[in-house]
Amino acid sequence: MSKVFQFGHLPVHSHCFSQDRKTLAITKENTVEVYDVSTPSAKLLATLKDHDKTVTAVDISIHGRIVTCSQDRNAIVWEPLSDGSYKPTLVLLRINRSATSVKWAPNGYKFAVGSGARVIAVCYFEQENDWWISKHIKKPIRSTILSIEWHPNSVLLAAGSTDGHARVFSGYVKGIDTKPEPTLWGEKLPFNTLCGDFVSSNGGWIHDVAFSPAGDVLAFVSHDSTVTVVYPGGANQPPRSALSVSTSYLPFTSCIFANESTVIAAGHSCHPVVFQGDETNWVLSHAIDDPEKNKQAEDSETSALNMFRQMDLKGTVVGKNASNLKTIHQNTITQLRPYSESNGSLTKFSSSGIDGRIVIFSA
Amino acid sequence: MSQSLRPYLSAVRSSLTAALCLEDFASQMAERHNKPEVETQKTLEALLNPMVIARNENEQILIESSINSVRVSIKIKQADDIEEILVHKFTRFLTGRAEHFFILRRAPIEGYDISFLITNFHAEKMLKHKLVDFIIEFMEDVDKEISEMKLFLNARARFVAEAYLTPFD
Amino acid sequence: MEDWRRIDIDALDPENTMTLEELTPEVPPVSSQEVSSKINNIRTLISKGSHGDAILLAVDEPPYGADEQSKELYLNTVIDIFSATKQTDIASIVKSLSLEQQNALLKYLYKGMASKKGQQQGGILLAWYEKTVEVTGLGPVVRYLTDRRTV
Repeated sequence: MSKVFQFGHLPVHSHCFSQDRKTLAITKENTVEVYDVSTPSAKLLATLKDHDKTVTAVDISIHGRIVTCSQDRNAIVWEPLSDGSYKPTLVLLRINRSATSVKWAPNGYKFAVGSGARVIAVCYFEQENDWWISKHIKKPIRSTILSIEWHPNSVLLAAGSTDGHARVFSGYVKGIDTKPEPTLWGEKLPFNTLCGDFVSSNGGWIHDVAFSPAGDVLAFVSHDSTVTVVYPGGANQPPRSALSVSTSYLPFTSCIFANESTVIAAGHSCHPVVFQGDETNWVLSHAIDDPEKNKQAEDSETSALNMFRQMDLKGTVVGKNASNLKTIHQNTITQLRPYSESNGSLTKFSSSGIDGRIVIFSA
Repeated sequence: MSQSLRPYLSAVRSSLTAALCLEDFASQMAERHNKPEVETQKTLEALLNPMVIARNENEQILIESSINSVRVSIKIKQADDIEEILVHKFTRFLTGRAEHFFILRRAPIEGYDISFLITNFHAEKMLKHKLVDFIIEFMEDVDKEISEMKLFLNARARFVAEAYLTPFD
Repeated sequence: MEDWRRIDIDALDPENTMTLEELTPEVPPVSSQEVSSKINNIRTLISKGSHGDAILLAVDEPPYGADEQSKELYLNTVIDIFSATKQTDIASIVKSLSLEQQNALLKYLYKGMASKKGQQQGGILLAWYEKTVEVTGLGPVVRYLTDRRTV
């Protein structure tokens, strides 16, 4: 069954579990709260409060460093200290609009920040000066970056933006990265190389992008309620196939790969949906926490006695939870994250919502 | 409920539900600002196609949506001069107290009688389906209210006329 | 240039803002002759009484690239099919359409309700709308919002 954490009623725009799944960081207005979730009830460990506008994203590296970014145009790296507190270091982002999303590269040595200043800042640590500095990916971005995702090789990164384009860039930083193996996305990858540019069939902002575990497939969700999966065709070649699945749900805001042939997406419909397919065809498989099924289960419980009691009390027949949605999340799901896996396939994933809930679902 | 009111309201409901998929979006134009994009109209890529739902020429609703805000404007049925005056007074009464209604816009969009502005912050604080319910309920009630007021007004006018025209004994 | 303090400098930077032309995806241009011949085909189908086929033809590859005037004529024709069709047939017609065609159908319904002619027949369009959304769910409504290819 799904595990639910309720952290007040303020929206959680982003959440992240540490590598060992013992601590959880969530955004809450201008702060980030870090919880110990190894015990049944979550315990607040620390509140990170150096931002002075809404924190838009949080991510924890494999080394335990927390990075946050906010609409105040800044990103901060929080180094865990031995006494349980965190030491903040401001990142030299050099952007003049809000920072919208942040992700550590899988190797944990650099991270990328998407922003409303129409740039992606790829940030890394400079030893000599003891600070985090950034390089900008500018061209051909013309609009706010809504989401960022790293390729497993920590060099390529995908970004979705409000102009309806999902793009794959090279974030290769000389001196930090070793020369990457050639992939299907390209062979020579100097910084800022555009390796792919895709749009959704019916337009709409790209809310989230995801690489498959092997990195050879890209999925993205857009505001036209579709999930698009792209199979690249090799360097400078058109993609082998790009498949869109249109759904009758409300738009999705987040997507993750469960394995090479399964994508989980969630968003404004407040529950996750599973898609499955391969290079030739993708289809909607099933919904998790499906409101239709939950409704049936609940309906059978309401007895005649209950009905008359309601009539007596309120004059109308209203179920006991009439104002609640029939899903666990009561408002938009903002982000999905992988939680645990076995045999290369996701078994559990976590989600955060505008309703202030973090839920761990079984895939 | 009359014949075409139900499909009208259900069309408004599905359109609103689709339009109210909002998220936090800081302004691309002004540094450190967060404005309803549908009001600024500056960032074209953050705007969506407007929707008009019309029952007839006199009863319409316009839904303009963007990435972080939705503007809903309602044209209320006005069949004669009395209804026109009543609608004007009624909407003025409401907009004059707009801050108590959270989502009410102080001035309606041109061509419409009353406008609501729903931002992502409203959608975060209030349940989305309840917001939709509220707008629908408002549309239902406002028609009822206006026709009730009209009846009341007529009854009063008749009473006054009777009293005024009664010959002295 | 007296009022230089009030100049909107952001608007002068072409890098800064995206224009509507840049946002609209490219669609193949459709000449007005092509549109009018398609309208004629649709009218023939209406007069024959096969409304299902008329709708199918109308929403299959709608003339996104046509000029405003031809689009207007085309819309009027589509509204004529709407009003000619029996209400009981609507659901089965909508079910026979592909996803892309359903999206186009909804675009015509919204555009119809925004036009003078459509508003005079508000009841009919609303009935179509209700039955369509019952079959398709909210997907096409969302796609109407995002799709910048207008009918």
